Amino acid sequence: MNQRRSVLVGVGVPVLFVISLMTWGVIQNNGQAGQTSVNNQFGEVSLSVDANADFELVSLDGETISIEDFRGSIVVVDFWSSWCAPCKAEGPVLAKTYDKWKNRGVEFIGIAIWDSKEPVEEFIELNKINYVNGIDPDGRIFVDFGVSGIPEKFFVTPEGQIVRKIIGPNTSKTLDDILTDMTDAVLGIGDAQ
Amino acid sequence: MIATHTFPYRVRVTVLVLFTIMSAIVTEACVREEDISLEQRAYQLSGELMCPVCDGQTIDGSNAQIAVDMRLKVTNLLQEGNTNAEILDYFSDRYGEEILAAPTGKGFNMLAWIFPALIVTAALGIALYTIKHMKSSVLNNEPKSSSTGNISIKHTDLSEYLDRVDKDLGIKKDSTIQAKQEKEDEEEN
Amino acid sequence: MADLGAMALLLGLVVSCYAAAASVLGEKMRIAELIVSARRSIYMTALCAAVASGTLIFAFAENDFSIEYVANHSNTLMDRAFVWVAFYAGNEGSLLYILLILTVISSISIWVAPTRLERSMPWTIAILAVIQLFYFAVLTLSASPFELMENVPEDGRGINPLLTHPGMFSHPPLLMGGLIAITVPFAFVSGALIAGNFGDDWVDVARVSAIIAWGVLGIGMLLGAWWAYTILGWGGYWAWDPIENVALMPWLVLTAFIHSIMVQKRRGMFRMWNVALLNIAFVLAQLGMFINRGGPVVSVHSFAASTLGMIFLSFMLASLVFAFALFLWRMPALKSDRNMESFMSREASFLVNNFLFLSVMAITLWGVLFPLFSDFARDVSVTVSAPYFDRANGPVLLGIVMMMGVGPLLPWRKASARSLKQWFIWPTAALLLIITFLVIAGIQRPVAIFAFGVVGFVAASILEEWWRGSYARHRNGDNWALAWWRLVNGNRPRHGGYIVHISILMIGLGIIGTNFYQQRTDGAISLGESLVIDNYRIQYIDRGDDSRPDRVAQWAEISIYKIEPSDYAYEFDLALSQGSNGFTLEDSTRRKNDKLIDTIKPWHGFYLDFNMASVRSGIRSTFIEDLYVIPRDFLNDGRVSLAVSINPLAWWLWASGPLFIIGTMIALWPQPAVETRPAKKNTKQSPAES
Repeated sequence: MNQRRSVLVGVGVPVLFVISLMTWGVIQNNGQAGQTSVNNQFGEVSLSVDANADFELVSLDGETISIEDFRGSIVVVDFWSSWCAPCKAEGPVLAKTYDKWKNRGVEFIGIAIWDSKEPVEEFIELNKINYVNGIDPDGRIFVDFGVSGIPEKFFVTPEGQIVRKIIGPNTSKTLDDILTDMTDAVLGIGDAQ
Repeated sequence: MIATHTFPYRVRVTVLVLFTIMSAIVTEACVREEDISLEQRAYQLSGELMCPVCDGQTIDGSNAQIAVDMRLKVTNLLQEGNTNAEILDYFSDRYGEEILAAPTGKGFNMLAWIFPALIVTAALGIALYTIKHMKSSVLNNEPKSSSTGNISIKHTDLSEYLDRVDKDLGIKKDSTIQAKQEKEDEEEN
Repeated sequence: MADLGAMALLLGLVVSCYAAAASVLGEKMRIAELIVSARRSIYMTALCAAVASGTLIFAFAENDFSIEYVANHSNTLMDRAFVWVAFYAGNEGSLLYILLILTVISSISIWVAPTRLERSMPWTIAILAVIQLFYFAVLTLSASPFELMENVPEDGRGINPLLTHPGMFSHPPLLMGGLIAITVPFAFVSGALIAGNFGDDWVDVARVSAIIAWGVLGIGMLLGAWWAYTILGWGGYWAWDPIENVALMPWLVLTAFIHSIMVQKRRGMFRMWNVALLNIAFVLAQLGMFINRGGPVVSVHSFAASTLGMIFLSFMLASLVFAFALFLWRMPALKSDRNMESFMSREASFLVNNFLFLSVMAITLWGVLFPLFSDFARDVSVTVSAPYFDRANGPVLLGIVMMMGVGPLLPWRKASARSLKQWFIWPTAALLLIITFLVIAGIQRPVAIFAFGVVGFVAASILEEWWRGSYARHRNGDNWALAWWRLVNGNRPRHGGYIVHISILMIGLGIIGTNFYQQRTDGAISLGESLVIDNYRIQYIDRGDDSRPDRVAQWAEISIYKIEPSDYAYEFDLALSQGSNGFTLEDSTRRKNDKLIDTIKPWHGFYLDFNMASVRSGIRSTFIEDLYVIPRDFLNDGRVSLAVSINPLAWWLWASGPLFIIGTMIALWPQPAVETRPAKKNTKQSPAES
């Protein structure tokens, strides 16, 4: 039957396409609940911002700071909130890592988002954080950096180039590894960037 | 058959309708974004941007904090004088293409927009082809005498329709109408 | 308790197995008793599903948190009225609800099925039994609502706060019920095809059951839109979310079907096409179930998501293969009795409308799939959401509305030039008049103006026919109302259809109004301050706390004043120069023409356990426009952040609902005179035709 064959092909081919796509999607586990504003999983993602980007952050002490001010140091820019669970877990790690690396040319900048002054100061005191922190009250900075959740970190070379973006909570080891890589690169050791 | 003048009725109607549609679309397309207030443009753009942390909602429809902040960013960017396209680019550079509520019309994404046009064209094409095919196929077993055509034309005239209404009602004033009616019913089924 | 429910489900599984087997065997071996027992087994499955559902509802009512499903979807704080909603609030419960509906409507439909379908009934029963079997199996093996908790908690997690709304009593059950109800016409038609019953015996059953499924699904979607409008607090009502789309797609195909089935009923044409449409609708309904249960697309309706994706995909695939194979097998037997006579005939216009409906369906499906395709083809995620569907489907939908005016004006078979002129002159005049009027009145947005014209065209075509029909009767002494009623009664499917068309036009008005002419502003105001937009001033006069143990909630009392914009000319100019349509007014002294017209109490709640906000908008609705106030947030400094919009013609969207139901009922109402006539004619004519 000619008509039969044309129906078989005319309908069958598109249907096959649709079905294979869906099967592929289900196997890939697409469509599971998407991203949330809290990043519980550690991972590296592609940069969401121009490598030369910068910001003007008013620190808790009232000073205006930017990445530019730390030219010559490796800079870690951390977006966080005092209420977010992985940030809480990460707090002491960050404080310790900073104390360990601050004499080796590494600076940290904390940017609290979706947060207010008292809990942020409490958090800093509780975790004995020594690096500079500020609040981005209305998203001017984090939207500019393509941040969609917390914690998210950007790593900046001494030349002011943003090179890596890490989401989710770090351990001392993950941070140490990245910072070692970056200092090695600065010193021209190893095969890192 | 009733003689038709220079252009058949249906051609004239089609042309008229098409003309109206075209002029409507052209005028609509001529509304420039500069003519719309910044606030309305901000709402428009908020409907074109997805909220990155809320499944399937635009920042316009979401109450999540990030949506609030992104709406503010849209307003700021507008006040700095950016065009709508620049603002959409700003967000897709930072949050990826998936931040746009509709795919761009460029490159691979053009497929998203071409397909609907193809679908409609193909559907109408198949429909018209089928009608034509069904018109000419030979499975007709109704007598195709010359009178059939005349009756079917008359049948659709208004007066005939009204007679039918009367008949439906059960108001059969005229036995000839009734007779004609029955004949038509035979025809119709 | 839980054991009773689980037992009932297991029994249902066994019984539906038996029903399928007995039915087929009985038919093959010609054992009438087996077929009768299969038929009764279907009634038995309905009983099983009812017992299981009753058990679950009872467990909710009794706060039996030893059952995991109850503990996850209810707590002691929940208003007892929401027990019914909690029943289908989650994956397992909603599956059980679907099964309940499926078994009940299967039973009813085989109970009332006409005797002339006797020959195909065994197959119909078998198909229904297999589909039930699938749901019983899923509920027994992989998604049991009767799983027990290892440690019985003190209290449950509570019901999803978004579901505690009156609309939720009816929207989800209607939607799910409508989707599963498509099974019935499909089972009847497929049964007839397998049995080789190629006549038009199934037409009435399929038409009636399809219209019921269609009507229920339609009302379900409308209620969903209404719920979104009043509670979701984003000011919209239809988001083209994947879950909405998968309900819309089978509805569109069913809409095509209930039109083209009339061609088969009246003219014996389109047989193959009607079978195809039903098959597509059924497969799309299965697609809907699949997307809803762990499908591969991101949706805002994530609370029903589950990990059953693969299972439902397989079942959809099986339905697809079955439907398609059956269609290909029986295709040659499904010939039309007659030829098409003219492009200018109702048959032809129905075919065109059918293809337009299918186009919208296909475009929507393409939109749902495109993100997957993009992921697959180039590993880049994209989103396809409302702006895409508005632009891609909008023009086709307008075309469908246009056809809604053209189609009914064309007679069956063939139109003459004279009758075309007679019938089209008034609607065309209405179209042109409305467009001219709106242009002269200085209304913006040409596309919308044209759309209004089209709505007017269709309305005029319906009124014209009603007027002419009623007038003829009026001349014979009936008063106008009676004349109209008799006209409607004379051909219920047709005039019921017109009433539904009018309700669709009302929805059209609402869509045009809200999409093209919405005005918005927002701002945070303190007590006593006002927001002004267009000719409204809304003043924040009071606030109150409505917190409960599970939520932090506040309400604002807001007075709405109708104002004369010229009283505020200075402020409006100032606002406009800053690029804004509305403005905040600190000094809310009444000006000369301010008139208090209403007070609204929008509400905002935050549910701690769910980390979820829920709002009740304050809506002042008139048939011209809605003033719509969303409380975005209550700020710590005492201000309330409001989003205010004016939604023109939104009232018509919701007003269409009752008319839609009435029209559907009229179209469905049995009409012995008309229904038996074609059947009689068929028998009379069949010798001549075959």
